[in-house]
Amino acid sequence: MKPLSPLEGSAARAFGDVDDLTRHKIPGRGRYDDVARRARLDWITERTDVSVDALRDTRLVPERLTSNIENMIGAVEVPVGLAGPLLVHGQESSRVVYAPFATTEGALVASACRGATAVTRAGGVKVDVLRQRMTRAPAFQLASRDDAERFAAWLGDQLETMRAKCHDVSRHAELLDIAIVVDGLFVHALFIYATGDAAGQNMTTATTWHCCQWIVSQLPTLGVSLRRFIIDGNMSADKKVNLEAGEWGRGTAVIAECTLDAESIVQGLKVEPSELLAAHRICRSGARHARIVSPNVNVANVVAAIFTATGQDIASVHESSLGVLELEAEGSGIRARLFMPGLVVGTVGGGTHLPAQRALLETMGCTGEGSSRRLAEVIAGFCLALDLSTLAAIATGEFALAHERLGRNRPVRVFSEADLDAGFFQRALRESLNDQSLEVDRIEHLDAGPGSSILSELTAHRIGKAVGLHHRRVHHGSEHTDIVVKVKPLDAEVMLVMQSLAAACGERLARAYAGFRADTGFALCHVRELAIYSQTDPRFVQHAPRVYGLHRDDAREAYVLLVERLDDVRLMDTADDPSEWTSSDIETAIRGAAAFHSIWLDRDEELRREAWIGLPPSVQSMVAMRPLWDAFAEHAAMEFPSIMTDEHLRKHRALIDTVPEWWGRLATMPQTLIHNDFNPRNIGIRGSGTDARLCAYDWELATIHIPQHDVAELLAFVLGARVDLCEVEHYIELHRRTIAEAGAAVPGAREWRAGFALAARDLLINRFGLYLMGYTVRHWDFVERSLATLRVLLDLELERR
Amino acid sequence: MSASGTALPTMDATTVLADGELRYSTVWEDHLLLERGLAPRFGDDLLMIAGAGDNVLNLLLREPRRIVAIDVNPAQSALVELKLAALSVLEHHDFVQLLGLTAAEPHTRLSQYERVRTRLSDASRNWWDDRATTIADGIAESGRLDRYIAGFRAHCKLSDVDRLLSSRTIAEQRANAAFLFSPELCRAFTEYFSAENLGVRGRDPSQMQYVGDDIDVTAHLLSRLRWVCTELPVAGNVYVQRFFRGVETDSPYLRRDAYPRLRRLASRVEIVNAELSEYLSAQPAGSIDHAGLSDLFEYLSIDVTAAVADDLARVVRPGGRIAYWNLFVPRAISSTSTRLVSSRAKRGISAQDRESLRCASNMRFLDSLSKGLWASDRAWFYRAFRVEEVIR
Repeated sequence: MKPLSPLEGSAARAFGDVDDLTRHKIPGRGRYDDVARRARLDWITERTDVSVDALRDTRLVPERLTSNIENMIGAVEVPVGLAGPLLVHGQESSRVVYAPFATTEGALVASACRGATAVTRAGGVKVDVLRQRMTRAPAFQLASRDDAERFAAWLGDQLETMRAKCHDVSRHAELLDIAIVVDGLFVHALFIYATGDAAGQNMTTATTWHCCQWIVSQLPTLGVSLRRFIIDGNMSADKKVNLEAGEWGRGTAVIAECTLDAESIVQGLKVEPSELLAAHRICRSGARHARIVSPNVNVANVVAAIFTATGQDIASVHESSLGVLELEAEGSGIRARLFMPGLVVGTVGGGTHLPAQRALLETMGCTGEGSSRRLAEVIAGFCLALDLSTLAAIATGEFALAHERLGRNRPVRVFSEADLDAGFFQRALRESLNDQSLEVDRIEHLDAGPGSSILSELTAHRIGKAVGLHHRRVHHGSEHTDIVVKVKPLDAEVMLVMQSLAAACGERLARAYAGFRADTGFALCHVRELAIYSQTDPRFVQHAPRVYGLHRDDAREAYVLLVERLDDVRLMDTADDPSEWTSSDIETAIRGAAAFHSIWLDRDEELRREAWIGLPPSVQSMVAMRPLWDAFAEHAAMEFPSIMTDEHLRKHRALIDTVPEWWGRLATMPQTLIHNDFNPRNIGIRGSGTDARLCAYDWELATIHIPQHDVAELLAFVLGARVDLCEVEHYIELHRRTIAEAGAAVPGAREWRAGFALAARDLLINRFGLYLMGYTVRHWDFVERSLATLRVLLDLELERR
Repeated sequence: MSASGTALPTMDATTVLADGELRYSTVWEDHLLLERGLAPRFGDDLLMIAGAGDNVLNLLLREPRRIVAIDVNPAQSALVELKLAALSVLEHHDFVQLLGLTAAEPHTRLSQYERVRTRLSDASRNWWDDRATTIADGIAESGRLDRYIAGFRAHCKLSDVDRLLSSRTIAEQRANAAFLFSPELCRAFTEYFSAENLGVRGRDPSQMQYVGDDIDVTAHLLSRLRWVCTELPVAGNVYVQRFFRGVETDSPYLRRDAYPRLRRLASRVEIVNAELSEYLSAQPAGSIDHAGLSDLFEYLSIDVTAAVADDLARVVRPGGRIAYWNLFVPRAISSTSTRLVSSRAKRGISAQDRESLRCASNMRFLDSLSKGLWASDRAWFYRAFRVEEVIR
């Protein structure tokens, strides 16, 4: 045996003496049981010193995988998302389908949903299976060219005999034809089968092998001399991308077609039909120059995702992803057609019997007779839907707008979880607990509690930093302190995430948002919250989490808050279901808000000179941002016509048109520092009865505004749609009186109520516009309910009372 | 309406503007448009046409790392230098007096200047030493445009102005504006701000050379003035107040409470007396975050505009913004360059043109933002405000 090359470094340590290969054999060979599986896991862990615990538990039963895998050690999890709805008009029936996509490519499922919804809205996709084929191509090497010609001629007459031979082996494989190619001494025979509901690679290998055994036995009689025979000489192009598949057929050939009217295109795909056609023309030109075999946009994404989810042969993804996309104008809309000549799919055999894969096939109605064809129909339908959505994104520049990156002109060693070490906490605790001798012994990770903000949720994991909340128990001496470390993203990073949300809402909103994104309250949000928490006024301190430290390091883009873990705070994260909020809790929240509102009331000029406050809203900014308010409203009307009806849109536009008037009035009212995100996602209540106290956190959007803004937001979130006028007036007046009692000068009750109504208008066109933008890609239960309540509050016309 | 800046053949606006006469003693461009249009972040490097320096100082309060205040006119540079020097030695009360924003005896201003002058560069000190009368009378309305605008006030009825400026709601404003904009006032306005007068008395004929036939300059100004008085709140509008009443002290940099911070930040301003194109050509790629360029392109030929646009696309970093106004001449740097290059392309694309094409395609017009901001422009003169973003 040829000696292996000497190993070096870590490989040598792991494998030691490579000449003794018995030590290198994987244990439990040929054994399909869980004991053997775990033994293999331990073995690889020991040899590589790498923990593979993530594979230790699996729901798969090794004993049932004898035809699927050898030396099994576990299973990798690939997330599966649901795409749809897609109305598919197949050959048998029309049905609405939701398809499972197994993928780790972000935005893929969302884009497929968008395309599918648009296609469905326009009447659905019609899919025809043209044929289903599987091929094997045995090859024969003869002794001379004469022998090769004679053999080929004889074989050409054996189709019926071969068919009979096939039936001996399989009931499902039907031999349709044999195509013969002579290449010098070689004779390739392409066996072309129909294989029912199986993809058929294994089945056709068996039948072809059986036929070839007979053929070889006949050759002496024929008087030709065979030098060599192999079961497949590559002419089947099995698992290779090839141009012949379209002609000979391999896999299932499908054609998917849909017609989209202009309205569906504009509403669903956020693009003008002409733009879509123009982009397609450009892409076809590029495809010609790149010599792309089958020009489409990205059908491989769907093929790979559904193949993975449904136990198809993933190695056939590339040959199955052949597809020619055609677009043409049809009236004011377009007709789109996708021809996929070779989808290698099946619903029996391979991985289709694994439990999850089987269940997912069932959800699409792709089990039983004819299911392979139905699966091909679904895949082709979603391929067309995704191609349209992606092409629309390309046409509108949404791609660029959604994939902007933060420009940095220097490398940054960003703050990471590794920085949350004992020294870090020790410095903070010594300062905040006023004990310079305090020594941190160890740090324990705690499970995440409630209280993540929408911003943290949206930005965490998207920008490659330790951004988000980190819960730690810090042990010092005989005590411990539970701390939540909030690592904040840069404002620019938040704005880019928001920009990617805007991009999902179409070109118009994306462009409007791109311009104004620094003006929607996020500018400086990373430094603002630190500045807010550094306040020492008891009216603030009593109504916010206890602060253990603030850490700012611009060079490392570190903006970090250390605050108490809010284990004793009730009603946190109840925005989606505020039913537990009692009127007493609402009063407590309003009293708390009044306390911190009273700190800066009518001293807002002092605040305005602080750079961290940024540019608070003003009548001028509200006027300037009218294109954005319009874009928000129109997007909502298009995307959620039941939430933003024509009547709502009319009222909404009237408010936008009159911004100079009503915001002009609002601007004359006393202003202060407000929380500006004052709802049950960011507030809770400590204690109860007379000890009850507000706890407001997530101050990153704090700004200068009239104080009624916070109360209007709170009431929109916690009150049901059946709003009682007296109750609302009671809360508004409670707020005013509590501020007055704190010593601040406040206007009369009537003027105060008017301010509340104007703040509610501001919330509607601004904050809820933003919510409805995010709602396109992220469902929050609170959105529809709170919006409905806010509209009821507006209808009370408190500014006139 | 304050800009000067780049290389041109003889007797074009740039040459004229470099003559050492103070063209603008205040800036007639809404600082909020620049702040919201450029959206500078802490630590950014800004490039701004200096003009009278008001907006350089207003944006300084947003705490950029550096503001390069560039102007081709040594007189404008001398004014910005004077303001910065005054900041460092005078208290707020003296600062606004020296600038002529609050009342003071001539000798008081001269003695304030004495304390400031030692901190000026030789060139600026010589310039101001020759203009003791201007200092004594107050600098605020000494610019050529400012003097011209001040001359119109004689036509305005003070009680009508007061009534308009004290309006509390838009509805009140509209009613009060109807009194102010009497037929007599409109006639006087049309006569006083005729294109000819404007070119000779307010600006320089060379600044008007690219104004086309598509705009009736006088009618435009009058309709925009009416618009700002009836569609935007006049409360807090320093530009309307300054137009009708003369000086104002409400701009952010003039406020007493901002003064200590402004003083602390003053060293971040770098004054450059040069042509913009000359300055840009010496700067490394991506070295500027954002640029505020006044209405500079108004005075430049389309060729020079395109050349400056290409330089800007190189020097301003990707993601950075460039903001500017169009007063009477519609000029868009993103499309200007592309159009030029495509006309050159017909003759074959040279390496230089290819570079230009790359630069031009690297700029994106933020149209919602630009239009929205223009619709809130408290300094109403302009026909457009444009923000372009440099893209990769």
